Amino acid sequence: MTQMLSSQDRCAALTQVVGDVDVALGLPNEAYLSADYFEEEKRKVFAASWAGIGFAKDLPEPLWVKPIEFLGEPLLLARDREGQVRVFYNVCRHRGMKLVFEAGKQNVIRCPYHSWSYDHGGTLKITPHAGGPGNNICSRLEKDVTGLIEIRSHVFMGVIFINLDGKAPAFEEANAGLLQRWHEYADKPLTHTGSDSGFTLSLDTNWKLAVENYCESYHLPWVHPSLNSYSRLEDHYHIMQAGEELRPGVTSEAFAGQGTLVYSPMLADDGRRFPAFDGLDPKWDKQAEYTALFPNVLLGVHKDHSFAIVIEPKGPTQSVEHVEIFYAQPHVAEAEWQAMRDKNATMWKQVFEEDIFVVEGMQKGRSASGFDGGVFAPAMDAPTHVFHQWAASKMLAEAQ
Amino acid sequence: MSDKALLAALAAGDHALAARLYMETAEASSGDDASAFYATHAYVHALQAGQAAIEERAGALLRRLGRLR
Ligand code: FES
Ligand SMILES: [Fe+2]
Repeated sequence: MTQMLSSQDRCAALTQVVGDVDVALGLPNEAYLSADYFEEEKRKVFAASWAGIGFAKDLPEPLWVKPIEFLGEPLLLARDREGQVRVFYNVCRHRGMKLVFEAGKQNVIRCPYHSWSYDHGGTLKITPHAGGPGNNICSRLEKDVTGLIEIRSHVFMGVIFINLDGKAPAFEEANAGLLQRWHEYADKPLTHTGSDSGFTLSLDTNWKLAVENYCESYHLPWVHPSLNSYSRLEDHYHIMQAGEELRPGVTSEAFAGQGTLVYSPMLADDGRRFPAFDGLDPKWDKQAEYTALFPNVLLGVHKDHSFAIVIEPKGPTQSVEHVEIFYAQPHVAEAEWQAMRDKNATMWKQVFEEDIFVVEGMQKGRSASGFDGGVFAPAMDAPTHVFHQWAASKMLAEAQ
Repeated sequence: MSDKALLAALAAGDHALAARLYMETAEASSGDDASAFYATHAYVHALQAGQAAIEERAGALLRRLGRLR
């Protein structure tokens, strides 16, 4: 039975979520089951913040384009002539034809219908015959339409983020807390080594369950016993930061996750290690951190590689995780590192696959109509609660 | 312009060739309307092929005829 709450009951349930961790309940079942709630999330949660939609490495050179769908919207990722990543609606300004159907390098973005042609910055180059056969001048167009509709975008740690409604603070401000915490990683060049460093996982679960599971370390000894061999529960610490007012009217986003003090897996029998990022503080020798950038990007940093997971919400009960691993130094792409890269990717894949059973199991649990959202164990679940608070307050934002 | 050569170029997705064939036709046409029509197609295919020289030539012709800004 899908549980739909009245707007009053929903408001009451969400208000209970944003309370203190020792009295709060988790998000109500409807947040994981209802198509209406999911529709509302598109607007209040995803469009209103900086959501991850893909990876900059998928546009390897200037003039590359890649069509994608995000929350049902056709979008076009493009790398312009200057090398800048741009994001547009994948729709022609003329009669609304979908513009690009295949990823690849192309010299111009030409609409397949009447051949209006745009450059990779979205500017119209020509509207053939728009002023009559052989005449490419149309005063109506010159007044009203100069190019594609662009969406605010930003690249951070290899991920392309967009703010669909255009009203969020600048990416650097919205994520000031995380950028500060990870300033040593934030602007480092990343090396992606190709298909051996990425994979996707399809999950029968709501996107939020993937996020909340990522924020906690509580489940590690039970769900990831192999990690326990080098990274025990007591070596992990919480990461959680509330949003802060940066200046009047501009508030940064909360973020949450967990870190480890003993990251040091053996990937080669001869003890060889991947080369590290330049200029890191020695504390990163053994430390690694895993943080969710709300709403839908999960990031991990280690001294020698980072990874990013973009969660693509497919519907209230379906999600796809796009996982990509990035190395600190370009020469890791060479053949002599292949075996270690494979081992690293396999290790992460195993970890994330182990999580599938629990995120899908929690999804199943949300169909129990008597379930009240669940309680948080304050000592262990505080980062999870930070995410619940964030998600609930986005949904409450307009109501208040 | 031979229709056959043009259709073959289009079928093969050979935009550079299509641009060249359209441009030759544009320059060989006597009336402004016909010239502009073919030059428009030369321009679009030149954009697709990344053929800056033909793009420029077609653009210059169209501008001279007042058919492109
Ligand atoms: S719909 Fe794109 S050119 Fe007409
Ligand atoms: Fe896990």
